[in-house]
Amino acid sequence: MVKSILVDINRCTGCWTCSMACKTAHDLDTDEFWQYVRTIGGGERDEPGGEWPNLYMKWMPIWKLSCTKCGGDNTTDNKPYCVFNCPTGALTYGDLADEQSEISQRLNELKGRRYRVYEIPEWEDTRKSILYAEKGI
Amino acid sequence: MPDTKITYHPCQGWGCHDHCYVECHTKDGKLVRTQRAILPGESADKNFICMKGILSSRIPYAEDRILYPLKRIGERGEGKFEQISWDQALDEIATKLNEITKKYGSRSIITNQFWCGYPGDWGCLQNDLIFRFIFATDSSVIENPAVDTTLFGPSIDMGDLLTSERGPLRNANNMVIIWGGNPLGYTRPSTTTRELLDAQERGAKLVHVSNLFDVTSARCDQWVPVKSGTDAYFALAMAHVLIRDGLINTKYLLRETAAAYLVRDDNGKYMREADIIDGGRENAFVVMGESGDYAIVEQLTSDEASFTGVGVSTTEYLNDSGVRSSKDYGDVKPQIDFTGEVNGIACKTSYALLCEHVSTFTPEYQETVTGIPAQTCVDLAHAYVNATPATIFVYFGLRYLNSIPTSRSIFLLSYLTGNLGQANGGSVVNQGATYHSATIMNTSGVVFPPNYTPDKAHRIETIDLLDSFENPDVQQYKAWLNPMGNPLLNWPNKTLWRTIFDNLELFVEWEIRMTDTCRWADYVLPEVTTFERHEVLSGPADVIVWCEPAIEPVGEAKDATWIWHELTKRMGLPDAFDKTNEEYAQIKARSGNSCMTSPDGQPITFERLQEEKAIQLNLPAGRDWDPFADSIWPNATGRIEFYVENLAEMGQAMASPYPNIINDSPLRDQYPLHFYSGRHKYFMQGQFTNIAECRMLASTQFGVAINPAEAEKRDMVDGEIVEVFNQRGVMRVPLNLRNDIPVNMVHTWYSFDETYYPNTACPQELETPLNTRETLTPFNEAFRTKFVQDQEAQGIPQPMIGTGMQCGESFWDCLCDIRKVR
Repeated sequence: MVKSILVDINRCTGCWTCSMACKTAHDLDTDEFWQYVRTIGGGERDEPGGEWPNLYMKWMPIWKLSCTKCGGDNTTDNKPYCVFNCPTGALTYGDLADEQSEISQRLNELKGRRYRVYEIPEWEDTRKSILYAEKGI
Repeated sequence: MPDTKITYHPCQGWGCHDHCYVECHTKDGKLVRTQRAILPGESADKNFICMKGILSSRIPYAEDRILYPLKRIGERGEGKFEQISWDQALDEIATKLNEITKKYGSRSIITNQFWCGYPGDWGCLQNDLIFRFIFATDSSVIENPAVDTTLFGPSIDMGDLLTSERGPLRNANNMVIIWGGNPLGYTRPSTTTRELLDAQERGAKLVHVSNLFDVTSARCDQWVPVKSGTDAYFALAMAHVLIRDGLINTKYLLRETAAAYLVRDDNGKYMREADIIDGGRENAFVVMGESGDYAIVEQLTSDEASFTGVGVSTTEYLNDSGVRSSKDYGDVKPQIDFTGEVNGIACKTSYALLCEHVSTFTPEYQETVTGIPAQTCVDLAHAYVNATPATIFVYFGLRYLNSIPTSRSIFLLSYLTGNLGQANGGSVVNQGATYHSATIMNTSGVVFPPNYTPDKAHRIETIDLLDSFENPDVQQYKAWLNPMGNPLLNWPNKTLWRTIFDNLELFVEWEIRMTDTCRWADYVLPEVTTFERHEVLSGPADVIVWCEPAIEPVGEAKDATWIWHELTKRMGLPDAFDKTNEEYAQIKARSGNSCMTSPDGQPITFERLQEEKAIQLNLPAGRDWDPFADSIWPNATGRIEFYVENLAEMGQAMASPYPNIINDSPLRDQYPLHFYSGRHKYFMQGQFTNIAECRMLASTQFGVAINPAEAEKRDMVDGEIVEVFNQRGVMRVPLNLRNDIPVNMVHTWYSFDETYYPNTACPQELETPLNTRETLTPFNEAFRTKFVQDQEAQGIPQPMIGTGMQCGESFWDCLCDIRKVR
């Protein structure tokens, strides 16, 4: 059973809680990231794109191949630490093959609301089974 | 088997006011992980944490953790210390305090009680202990600086009703106008963020009115960029549109506000019964009925002795005869827009005065000041009404001298539309500075020592402190104890505070890490972190939480109770602190609050709390309490007074634009740019700058950012070292060219400590000082005087009354210019 993570880009604020939760739970070195957050905007982290006042910015959490889809522990309801600690509700985890799972229901809900759903191309060497959904941004 | 333990704590960065609890995982005596604490019952969805909560677990083991008592061996500010024993530190400090007391009096000892950044804020045990110390020693406590003053705007109209509950955010379905600040990002992207995004997903349109495009702007459906410090013009122009286009809620205005009350032309006062009838009452007011006959309206008085916001009927009041009367006007149908005479006295309704007042604030006029297109103003005013019930969320981002008049102008919109206090709408100011009043703990068993009398201790003002160094006739302040906060980083102007600290005969700091302030101290005492001590907290997330130490103190760190006890014992007061930290926490927990039952009706005993650790409180007004829905307005009329008669003489009877530095100072010709020193989202004020991951994320934004157009004027390029300067200093830092920064602004992050600025000034040195004569405003002074009087009338001891708001807030009200390095 391959578990997936669904990212609601509309709810991501680029706070890096997911990334830091991963680092502390897995005791990673300061410069080691299994997961990080990319800003879609002006190039630098948290820099909007465009010219004032016509500006835009959004964030995209990225799971590297080193991510183990760890599944957390019993204190995180067996959700990965990144998902459990996400403060904005942007991340959903589970088995897409199970129609009753939280992730399947959330995916269907967002599709029903005409969200676009996509994945990062395989040649970018990121963790598989990460779905991104967004609308209107 | 490893020895594992799970405990609950306030996040070390609690001062952000999102007030999150973290769950700590300890293994073999070491804190290995902090994560979101799952609170019981309905509180579960009120607690989320950000990356700083996650990284809290690194705090006890940070490289700059203070592990032993330190004594200064170099000059103040040099940061040169030697390790000494606790006995030596406490003996020397106590001896010096006794000498100072003998020579200058006990009140020459000042303690800084400003809580911001301390885990648990004003609700923590350390806060209570500070009061115990000043009462026990009859010493002084310094006023709180003028910060977060937007909170006070609506209270002017509402009779000092102070509240900032965020209940309405949880039920907003149609629209939330987020005004000032960056609540979705900023330093606190957790529960508030979640609630706003939930509202958006329910269909609420999020609108952000702000001077900078940030996380909140990016996530909102509409961003309304406003020139810094001009927000009141935009709000008043929206009020103009509401009135002009017939969008006001007359029913609400009549019921909840003094809109129909007559105001005398000759003296600007509300017309009293005594003005028109011999022997008439001073606390009965006059309205004009549609019939053309005047009527008398008695003062509406809450049936609570003082405002509690709990369990009070929303419609019934006692009149001055002790008989219940409703908020309607009986058989009288008052005219809301009347101009004429009553018994020969010319008068108008306060609503008529408001109409006159806002008539000049046209959408076109505001555009010339704010830069917001007139049509945007018209559209947003209409959208706000059409979305009724709609929410206004005034956040912390109006940090200018005029923040109080500005937040008052914004709240006017919620009166005119009747959105204030309405279910699924409402208004929120600041958020999180206060909690449901029923959750406030009884701290008297901790705060008041055995020898307490009401004349003990004194709260001093910063201005008086400054004067004391110049004028021998005023109280001389000689010793400063700093158990909370990091004023040399968090309080502008750094140069000023260095001067103050350098004038002291003794400066003692207790801290968890080496800070800018520590470097100026004579003694630095190692204090435990939130993870190494007992605590009990009540309020945030509607829970009461018993916090037990997750780990043993690192190094020789001690809790505050122990430090206070050992210090006062050596000062000859062995009984001043006669309990341990755990025992004081127990006293507080056993005293509890006024709602010590869980939702199932079971009482919350200390033993139960000790067992369950976190228990949801059974709030009498529900979990999503909106204090403004209680409709208790504790002022002269008992209704919201958008016309405040006592402010008429200074032209501020109604919400009005008020001068600030960046737009109105004569220095603007010399320093044409707005110096905007924001708080970095990867830090919490000055905290977490010692965490490598936070530094890594924030480091690319170190320096100053300006619009390329400003750089072109000055022949500057991206990346070069530039000088930002004003009358207070010169800061030499790298330049970042950013298309998202508006022209006329220099943007910087102020959280980096002084080690980031070798041989040059820090942002704090350029910032306008808080609470000095430079930022005194007549409006703030008038407001402060009444506020303090009201607090005194409630029997609050003078040292415990929050002061400081006689000065305008000025964190972001600062001018500068920028030049190439000379």
